Amino acid sequence: MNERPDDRLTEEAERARRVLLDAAPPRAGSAFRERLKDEFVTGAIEVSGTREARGRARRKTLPIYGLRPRSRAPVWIAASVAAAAALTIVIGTLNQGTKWLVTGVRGEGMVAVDGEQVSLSDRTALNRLLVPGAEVKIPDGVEIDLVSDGAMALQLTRRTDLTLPPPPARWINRHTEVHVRYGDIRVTTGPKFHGTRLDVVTPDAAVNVTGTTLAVIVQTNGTCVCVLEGVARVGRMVDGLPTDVQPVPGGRLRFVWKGDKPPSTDHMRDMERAKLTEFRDAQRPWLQGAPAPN
Amino acid sequence: MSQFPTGPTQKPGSSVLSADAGALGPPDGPRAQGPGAGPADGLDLEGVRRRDPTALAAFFDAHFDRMFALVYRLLGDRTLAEDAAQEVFLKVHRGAHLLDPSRDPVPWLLMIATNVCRDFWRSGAYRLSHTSLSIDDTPALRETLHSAARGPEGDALAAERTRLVQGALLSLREPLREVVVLREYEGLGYDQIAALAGLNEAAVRKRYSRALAEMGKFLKKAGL
Repeated sequence: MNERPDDRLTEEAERARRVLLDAAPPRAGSAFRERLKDEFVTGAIEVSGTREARGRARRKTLPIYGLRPRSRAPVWIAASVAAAAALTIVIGTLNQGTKWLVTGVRGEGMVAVDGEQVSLSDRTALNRLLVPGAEVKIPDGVEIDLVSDGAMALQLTRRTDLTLPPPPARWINRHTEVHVRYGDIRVTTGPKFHGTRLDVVTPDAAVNVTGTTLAVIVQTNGTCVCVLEGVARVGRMVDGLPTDVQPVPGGRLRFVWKGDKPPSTDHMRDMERAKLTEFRDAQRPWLQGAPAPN
Repeated sequence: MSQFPTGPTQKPGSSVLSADAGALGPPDGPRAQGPGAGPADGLDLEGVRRRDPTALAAFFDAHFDRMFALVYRLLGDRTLAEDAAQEVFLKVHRGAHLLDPSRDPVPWLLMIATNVCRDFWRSGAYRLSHTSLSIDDTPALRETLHSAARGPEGDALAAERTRLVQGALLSLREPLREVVVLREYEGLGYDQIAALAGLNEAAVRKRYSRALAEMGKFLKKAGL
């Protein structure tokens, strides 16, 4: 195991080796040697004052039994982990979609956001509180329009109770989900929604949207999904999983009944068509890049 | 690959650095210093375990010069070497009660010394004071080296040669320097260095060859 590859050394390397071997060993100063010996023998030895003064003193319990060559690996691993974490944070931050901005409020009164009552006239507070994950309850006669920079717009209407979804991410994990427990919401998507998937989940139905304008109306007897344009895939929620998923084209609705009654389809009602059209047209400027109002 | 001993209490023969194996003796290198003081050298290691002053004094006398030379060659600075030597013997004193009197303490000392030097290498102060040394960037060193090459015979030449060697060692990056010093001055085999440095043997061989090649170029520039 100890054979030397000296025959492979270059002439220069071999000469370097000879020079090394010719050199006299460095010696410590006798004063230092005697002082250190005295301290070692008497037990007065301590970390060097010079070293302490440089702030490099490291007083550790000596792990005699576990003594191992101190690898640099932990330093590199720690550096790699830190770099990866920093990169993840940076990418995660940049990947986040823009926050929800309130573009329109109709009606008067208070809206409950995470249990906090907020005046509809306080646009600043609404923008601050209407963040992804917020539990929102809209009173009767009130509508709030929210937009996420070019990706999609949401309209929360009468007696809606929902969990606000995160706006679609920019590059990766472009899936977002909104949970509607009750009420009506309207959704329209913009150019930046391309490649994103939105799932609307209600107690009775699951709606998969890849670019469309639609309304999801959650009532006591079931969920009605009205599609103005594009195609939405609508299924029943059974044991938390969507089943019997069917495409619903523009101009049609699918009603997913509570209980075992099979879903029914029909033409969209004119009133809902008008509301959806109005909502889509109103949000179009924000979705096409116009700065949202503060 | 061999496993390095987990400490001085490891059973003899279980390590490439064990005294029984005689592995610390010169494997084939002409300058290897041998195993140093072992149980057979008459040192009272039981006394060291008890921190008996007489035994500690003998232990110090037996090992200090070798440890100082090692840390000096690895660190390249007398003040740092004194600090490091002090730290080595501080650790020895603290861990003396765990010493196995039936085993050669040298492997343990080498491990402590190299670990201490690695701590120094990582320190900001060391990095500040030991940036990469190039003979071209260091006129004073170049002058020293050239004068060494043409210098007179005798002690002065020897002193200059020592400085020349230290300069050449300092021109190496620490991982390369460590391999050369352990190989040429401590007489360790590749497998022993691999165990000590936490590398595989092939990597040690590669570092050794590269280190000597770099030193050869350095010395050629110095006119030697």
